[in-house]
Amino acid sequence: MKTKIIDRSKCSGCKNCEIACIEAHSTGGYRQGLDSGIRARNKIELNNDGQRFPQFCRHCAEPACVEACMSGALQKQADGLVICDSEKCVGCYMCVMSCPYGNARPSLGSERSMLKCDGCADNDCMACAAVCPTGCISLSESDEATVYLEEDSTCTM
Amino acid sequence: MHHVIVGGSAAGTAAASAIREADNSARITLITTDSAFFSRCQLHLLAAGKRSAEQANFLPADWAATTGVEILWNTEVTGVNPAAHTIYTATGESLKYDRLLIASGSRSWAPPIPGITGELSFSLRTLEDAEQIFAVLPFVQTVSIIGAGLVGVELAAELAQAGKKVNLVELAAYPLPLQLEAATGARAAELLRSAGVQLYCERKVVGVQRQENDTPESLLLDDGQNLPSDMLVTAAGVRPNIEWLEGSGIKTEPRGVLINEFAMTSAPDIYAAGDVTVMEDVLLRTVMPSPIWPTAIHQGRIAGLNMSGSAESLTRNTGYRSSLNLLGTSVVSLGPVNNPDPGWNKELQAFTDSRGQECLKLLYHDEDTLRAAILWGDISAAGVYADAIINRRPLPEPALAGALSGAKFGSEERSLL
Repeated sequence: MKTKIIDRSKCSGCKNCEIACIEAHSTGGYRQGLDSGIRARNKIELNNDGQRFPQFCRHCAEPACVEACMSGALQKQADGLVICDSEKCVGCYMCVMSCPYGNARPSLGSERSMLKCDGCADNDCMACAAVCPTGCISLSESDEATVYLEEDSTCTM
Repeated sequence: MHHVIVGGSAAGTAAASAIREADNSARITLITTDSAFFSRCQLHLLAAGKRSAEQANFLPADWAATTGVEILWNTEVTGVNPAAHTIYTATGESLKYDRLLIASGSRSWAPPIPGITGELSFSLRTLEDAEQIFAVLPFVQTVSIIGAGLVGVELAAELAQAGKKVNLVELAAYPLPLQLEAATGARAAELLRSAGVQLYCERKVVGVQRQENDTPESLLLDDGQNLPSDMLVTAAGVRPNIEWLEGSGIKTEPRGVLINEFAMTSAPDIYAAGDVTVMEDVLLRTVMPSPIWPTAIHQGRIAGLNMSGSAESLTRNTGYRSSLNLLGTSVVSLGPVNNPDPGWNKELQAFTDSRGQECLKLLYHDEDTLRAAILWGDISAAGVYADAIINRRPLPEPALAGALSGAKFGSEERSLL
């Protein structure tokens, strides 16, 4: 499958990946300022050492968000992606309290629904990787959706 | 290998899925008193007519076919003989098993109040409960709910929004006493009252007066108040469905079937998972139920894998995680906020997020270790906090610094923009 490779040492904190994610998922004309109730499905945070940590969904092998989902909206698909069916989601947000990385988030719009990375399954290219100017996020092929170089699993924020 | 699963909610179905994942040829029989799969966490939405029974199915529509699970609907299991590896149903049938899973859940408990049962008097635990409430709603004006826990509060909020007059009676000093503490409890009370819910805290229902046709007339409180009521919902807690285990020798406690870290009961080849179980809580170090959906799924999955020959372990078991929608405000409660260690520091921060929402962050910490938290409004980092609390992980320093001092994290985050 398409793999996102993240080399966090290259992150400059420009947040282009966040903007690209918002725009890729905007249905209401984000560039025209018409779509304010939308948030990125990724986030650049600071880790324990005060260093930038690009926080992306791992599409985990045993996803805590899916285990917490009481509506059946969140599913680990056969292709390895963890996808939310927003029609089924009732916005209980038990996934939000269960993802140890903070990558399941409430939507910001009026509809109560969770938001997470969908792997840009409908696009040829992942929007976040396409715009990354430093090579922090790059694409490859492997069995995993997201691979962190020098993973520091305790640095979740 | 024949696996028999008693119970068809989160734990039972998660176990069945896990067994099928581990063993393509195993025979799996799931026996349930229900007539359909439904998510218990959505019953308040069904009762208010916001979701249909079909929408409340948390499994794919073709789940039984794809997993090859034989399902016996509307069937009560009344006994088990561990030595004979046999269970018995209410209709007098018996079924042999190689491995048995007890996932029979719990049921609503009605406190011993004169007149509490009768016409237009419900609990909210099954699909039928929710459907019956929805069916009678057009004919009632005033609904009284006994118990302001998660079920009572979420139902009160829905019914108030649907235009009903709602009385909500709670023994504790504030609503959601297991999920909140005094300051957040006061805010929850304020929210409910602003939505029109008549909230009676530190009050006990001592009687229900009924009309000649057995429908409720009024609720009598311990301070003498009389609350006219057309309909009654009891949401005062649950009891485990363990009566069918009597005489089997399977070790139970008043609050459920005792399981070990492998989800095994005291009897050979018998496992248990979900609301019917008790085991040690990792945060409180006490044997107790952990009656939340994610834990039921996890226990069911671990049980299913172990019934299939694995030795997976439930290492971080806790029910001290709740997420609720309080009239549109998201609230997450983590850790024993209702029973904090007196030595923990308590810190309450109020702030307004970037969208103008008034938020609260209440933290119990022990030096730099987070022990419990309530996130109110902005819950987006709740999973990170939960991980820190449950796995005793130091919160990432900037987050903790931000958590404990308020300003620091914000300014560092802004410096990135």
